[in-house]
Amino acid sequence: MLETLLTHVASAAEATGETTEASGDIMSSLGIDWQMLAFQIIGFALIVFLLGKFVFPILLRSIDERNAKIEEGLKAAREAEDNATKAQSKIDDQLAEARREAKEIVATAKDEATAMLSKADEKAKQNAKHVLDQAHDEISKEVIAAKKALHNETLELVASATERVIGKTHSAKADKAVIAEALKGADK
Amino acid sequence: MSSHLSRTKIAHYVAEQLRAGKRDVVAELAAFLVEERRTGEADLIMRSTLEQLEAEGIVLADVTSATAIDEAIKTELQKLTGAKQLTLREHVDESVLGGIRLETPSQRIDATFAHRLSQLRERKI
Repeated sequence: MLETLLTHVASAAEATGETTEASGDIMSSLGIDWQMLAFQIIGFALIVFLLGKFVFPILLRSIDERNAKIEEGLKAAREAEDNATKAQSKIDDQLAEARREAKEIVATAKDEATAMLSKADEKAKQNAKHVLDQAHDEISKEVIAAKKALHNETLELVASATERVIGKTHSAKADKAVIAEALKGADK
Repeated sequence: MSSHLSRTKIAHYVAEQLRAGKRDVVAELAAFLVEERRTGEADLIMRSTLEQLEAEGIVLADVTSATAIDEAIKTELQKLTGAKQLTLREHVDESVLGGIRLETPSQRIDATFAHRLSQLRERKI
């Protein structure tokens, strides 16, 4: 096919060579060779044709494939970015929830600690009051016991002293007077 | 005497005999109590006898004092007991310290210092 094409191009060049002889002087003064130009144009067209038929499709296909891959990659990247954003958002939500729960736990713990302290304080006060009351009771009992002991000891001392004094000083005359007084009292 | 006479009846009999001046009744009573095996009732019978005599104005009383009592006190004692005939058994006991204690079958009057001191000691709590 290529040989047939080149044969046709040569025949056409020979034909145009004859018709352009008249204008050849202006062109040769410009340095333009019509035959060569025609060959170059035909060759360029042939190359363009061949490239367009055999090379450019392959190139374009590979470029398209590469674009598709790039597009795929970009899509995957966007999807990954979306997923990452969603995951981050989820993490942020969970963190916020965890912080809220932690805050609640701390508040509850503080309240419970305050309540326990109050209870312990109240219990300590009650214990102290109980100890104080017991001490007061003990002291009262001891005071009462001491008063009893003093009362009894005083009675005993008075009785003993009276016995000794009367034993030493009571005369028969005084005794007679005491007896007479006692009998008068008994008579009444 | 018949078997198992009451103490009251025995005491009444003894009192009658004593009022009549028959002192042998005491020996009779002792023999009776031994025979009847009622010697444990001797004190009760004697007390009952004395009570009956006291009811009739014949009083046997024990008098205790730290010093010997004189006639004036004896007269006061007779007035106090209201007895027609008062027989005193006098006891001198220095431990009573002073005052007088009179014991008859039916009453006891303790006006001794020892008794008063004892009452004082009883007020211990």
